[in-house]
Amino acid sequence: MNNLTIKNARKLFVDKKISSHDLVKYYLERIDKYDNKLNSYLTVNEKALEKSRNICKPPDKNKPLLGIPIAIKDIFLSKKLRTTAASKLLDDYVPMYSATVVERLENAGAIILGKTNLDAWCHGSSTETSDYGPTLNPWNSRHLSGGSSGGSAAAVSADLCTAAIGTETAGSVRGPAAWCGVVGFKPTYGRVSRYGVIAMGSSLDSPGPITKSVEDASLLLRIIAGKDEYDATTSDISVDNYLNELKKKRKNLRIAFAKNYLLKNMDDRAKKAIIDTTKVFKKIGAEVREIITLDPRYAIGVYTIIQRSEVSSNLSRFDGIRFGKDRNYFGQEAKRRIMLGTFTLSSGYQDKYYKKAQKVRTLFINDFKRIFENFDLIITPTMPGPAPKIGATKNQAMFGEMADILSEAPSIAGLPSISVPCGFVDGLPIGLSIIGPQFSEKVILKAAYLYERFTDWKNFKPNLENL
Amino acid sequence: MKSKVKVKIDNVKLVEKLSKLEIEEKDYFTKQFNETLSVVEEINNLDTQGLTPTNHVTNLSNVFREDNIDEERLLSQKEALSGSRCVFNGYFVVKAVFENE
Repeated sequence: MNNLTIKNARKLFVDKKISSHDLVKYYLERIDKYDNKLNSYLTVNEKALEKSRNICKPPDKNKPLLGIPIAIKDIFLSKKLRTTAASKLLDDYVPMYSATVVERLENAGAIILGKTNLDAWCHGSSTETSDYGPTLNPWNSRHLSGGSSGGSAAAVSADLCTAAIGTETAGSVRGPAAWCGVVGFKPTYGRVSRYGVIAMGSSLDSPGPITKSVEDASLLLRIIAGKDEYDATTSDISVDNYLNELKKKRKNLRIAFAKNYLLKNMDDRAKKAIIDTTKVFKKIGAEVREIITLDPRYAIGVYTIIQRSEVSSNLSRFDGIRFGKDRNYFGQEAKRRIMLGTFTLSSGYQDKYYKKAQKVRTLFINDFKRIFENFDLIITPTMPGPAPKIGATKNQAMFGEMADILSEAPSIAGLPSISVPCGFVDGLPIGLSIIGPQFSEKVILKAAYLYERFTDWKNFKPNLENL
Repeated sequence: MKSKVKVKIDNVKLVEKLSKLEIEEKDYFTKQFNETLSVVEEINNLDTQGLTPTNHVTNLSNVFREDNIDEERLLSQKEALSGSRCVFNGYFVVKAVFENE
């Protein structure tokens, strides 16, 4: 049962080699054994075992995930299952309804195995702002798992679930996926519903799958994507059968290699690993050319202002009256972000900060449009290097925004992007990001699938005995 | 537009009040506040004359739905109150807003 993908688990269910109950038991035992140290789960669903026991048929077309145990970032509301956003403010909060994503997964037959750790309120790129302590990196427990969806990425990497769901505002799915050596997909803004996701930056937040393979990401994305009448920002553009699209032949890809995303201070070995990916793409028939984009450093300012402004507005609903504890329970990072956002939206400063940021955002959108006139996709490193050590965020007023520098420009432009494993530096995984125009999910997945098949990074797994 | 903003502790106190938060170590906080502002202000080096601010990233506008009530989705009063720490006779309890004279 080691390291089963959804695809392989489904096959074993169909062939009656194992049952969903066996698989849930397998994960619960592993969680029991390793997660005290790793800290990837905040809540394990006590009903998972019982639910799996009642499953007596294999997955089919209507229930493609029947019996598959999935971990959910603890930012999604889950009916009658504690949801904390990794903040003590919501320590004992039990929602009365589920997020659309959770509902769609359950309707497809998935078993919610538990709720995973994150930076409190998604504020960070390390899980170090979690009120329940950081999630460690399964490859080396002295290092960060990344964030904010660090618990989800670590749980997938350490084989404590079949697959997981995270959310990304800028880098929060792809970053931890890269640092934990798994696949992370951030869809186009509005492709996946935000209903029932505790809001961070409402004009940016995008739920997405974190998986052991590109095929699994394709399968999960199709299930969670699509119009939702409870989230007015979801698109009614039809959802493709991404899994079938992977097998289809398509014309050769034109790939732009964003040369200025290889930052000056980046680790040389990480740089080389990214340059090597261009060789792989050329071998599989793609046309790869270097380009220069608008400097991603400017995206830090745009992203920080927009995100913190939206945070200040979204977190104003936590009044301690209807649910949760009072505002004194916000941690340092949340307070910092709420206050900066309140400032940038305050009278006299709104034009200087918020409006200016939205104008530069237009500049980034136009810059990507210009590139996509001649290219299908852009490739960049996901993060500037491998996971830093635990404690790296101490006294850093904007660790998250700085660490996510390479994810911010595509995110503020609403673009979809995947991170796939592309090498190791000092035994720690790094990731390649493949970015496409809005709603080009199937092209991105196809390119990632070809890359994954041509390389063998997916075969490397962390050794948890070394934790 | 290009002048650097320097936030003083009084600004922080005002924002603290507006945000309904309490901050300890206000000096340290003010320092970090200024550090962050100096990074984000780099965007002022870009010329954005004539550009429209982004309103919606995938260009949606005026999204409506039918004004129907889905009875199955309604929370009962008990459910709606279940997250509150202080309820009375089916109501949320809040602190008095007006002071007695």
